[in-house]
Amino acid sequence: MTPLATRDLLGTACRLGAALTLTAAIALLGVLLVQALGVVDVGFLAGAPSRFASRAGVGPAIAGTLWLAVLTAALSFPVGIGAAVYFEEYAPRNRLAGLAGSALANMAGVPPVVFGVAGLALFVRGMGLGPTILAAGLTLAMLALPTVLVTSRTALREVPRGVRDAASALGATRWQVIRRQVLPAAGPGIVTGLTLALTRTVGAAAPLLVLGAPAFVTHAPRTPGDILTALPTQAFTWSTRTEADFAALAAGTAVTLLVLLLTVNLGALVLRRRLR
Amino acid sequence: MTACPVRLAGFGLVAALAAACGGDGVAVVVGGSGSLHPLSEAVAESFVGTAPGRRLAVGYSGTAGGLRRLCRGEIDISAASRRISAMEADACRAAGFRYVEIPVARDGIVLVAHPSNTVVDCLTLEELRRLWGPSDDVRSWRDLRPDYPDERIRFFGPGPGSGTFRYFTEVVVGRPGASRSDHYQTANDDMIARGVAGDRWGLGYLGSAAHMHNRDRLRAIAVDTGFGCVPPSAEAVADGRYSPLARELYLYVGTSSLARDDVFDLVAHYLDMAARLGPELGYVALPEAEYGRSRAVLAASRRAARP
Repeated sequence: MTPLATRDLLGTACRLGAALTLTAAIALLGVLLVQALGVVDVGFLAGAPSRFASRAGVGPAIAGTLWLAVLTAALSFPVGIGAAVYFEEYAPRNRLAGLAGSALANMAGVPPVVFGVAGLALFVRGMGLGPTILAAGLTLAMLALPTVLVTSRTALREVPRGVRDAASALGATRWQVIRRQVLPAAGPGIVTGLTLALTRTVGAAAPLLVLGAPAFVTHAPRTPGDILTALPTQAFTWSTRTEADFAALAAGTAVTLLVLLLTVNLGALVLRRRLR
Repeated sequence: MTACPVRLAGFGLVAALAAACGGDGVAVVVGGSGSLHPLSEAVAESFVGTAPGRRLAVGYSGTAGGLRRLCRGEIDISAASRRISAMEADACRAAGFRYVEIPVARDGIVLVAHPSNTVVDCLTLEELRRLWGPSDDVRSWRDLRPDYPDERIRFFGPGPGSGTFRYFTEVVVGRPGASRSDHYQTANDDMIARGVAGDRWGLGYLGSAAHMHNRDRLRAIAVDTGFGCVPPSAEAVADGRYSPLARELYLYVGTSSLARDDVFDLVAHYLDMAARLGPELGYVALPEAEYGRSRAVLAASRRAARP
């Protein structure tokens, strides 16, 4: 085969890949939307779960997921970014720091359910928090942390060496260099990483199920000490039910979660524009 | 019992959060048996309807897990599809935890097959023992009876944490927990129903509430306990003809939780509503006198819990 023909073949394969990806995404959304159609309305968004599909709502689950998003962000973002700054800017360039850094990076590949098991032992049982919003927030923060760290480190590393050198040459202290030059330059990249970490984490059902999210919660959590309920677990609970109409409820819950996460992405987009 | 300081700190944190944010205490948390979940859910919803603002969380993870969590003080009420075992009761006592046992309904353990499997319509207890016992020498329906088709049986049932599993193995196999282990196991009765409904030659057993709301896609197999084939009807469960596969379902309520108004009111509401909500969900109500007796027990332990 001539090199040109090979390139053509590869090009076609890539185009096919793109088409398949697009088809899969559209099919997924289409199936969800068709099923969710007629389920998602004001009553559904504001109402409480019910054994009657026609009356059931996701109000408590939405409140729970919002709580979890806030807690996860508040707990994991500062720590993760701080750790990233340490590893990129302060840590000595030696074997130990490298090892610690890559060990933490590898944590990003640990399946969410593993964090659920750890959270169950640590927060639910160990600290006696029970299956509460707080215990779930701590667990999800642990889950988000490695992703925050890895993406923030990448963003920091992409800031040209020259920026640091120039600022230092002008007499800026190390912290001034980081605060005034490096962090702003890395800002958009960090925000992208934070969004990824947050949406991936808050959409995970497995760790919350392991923590023991009850199937039927009648009220929206008002404090982090309240019983855990969230959109992904609500979708799971309804999807296991065999009565008619509950599959549609699960789809409606999934669409609600999707819209919520899209909003987070959109907010991040706006923020990124501002930071540039 | 020595209290771990970290644990205490955790409890304190949750309590402080609840107090700081103006929450009126924590919710009533119900866990335990999945067989009783439909009734608990219905009662909970009806309770919230009569007393808006009451905060309830109803989950299920199997009877064994529920009782364990109850005696650790993690939940207020554990539903149970069997009585608490001597070992579990000892563990509770050792932890200094006190509870009351409240029978709330009866149900039958229903043997289910695919609707198009019309060949198998009645099984004897001895056959059930061969089917579900740990020796697993029955692989196809032909192994059970020569006139059955030579089709591989796929088994769906609850697993070791389930009260239904423990009860079924005890009365059918003769020893609690003695069971074949190559069956598809789940704590969720609906998943058992879904499995059998999707398998032409499948066999499963589940609580009668799950059979009730899956009755369009499952066929119940009658059981011959020596007095002819008895289908798992409400009448047969009530009058004892379906025994030993008919059983009582209980709530175990922590005595300290009963001191709280919301817990007490919920259990009282449960006793009021079980006979009304139960039958349509597949349960059989207890005689009214039993509910009366439970009300008395409830009131007495509340008085004891509240000095």
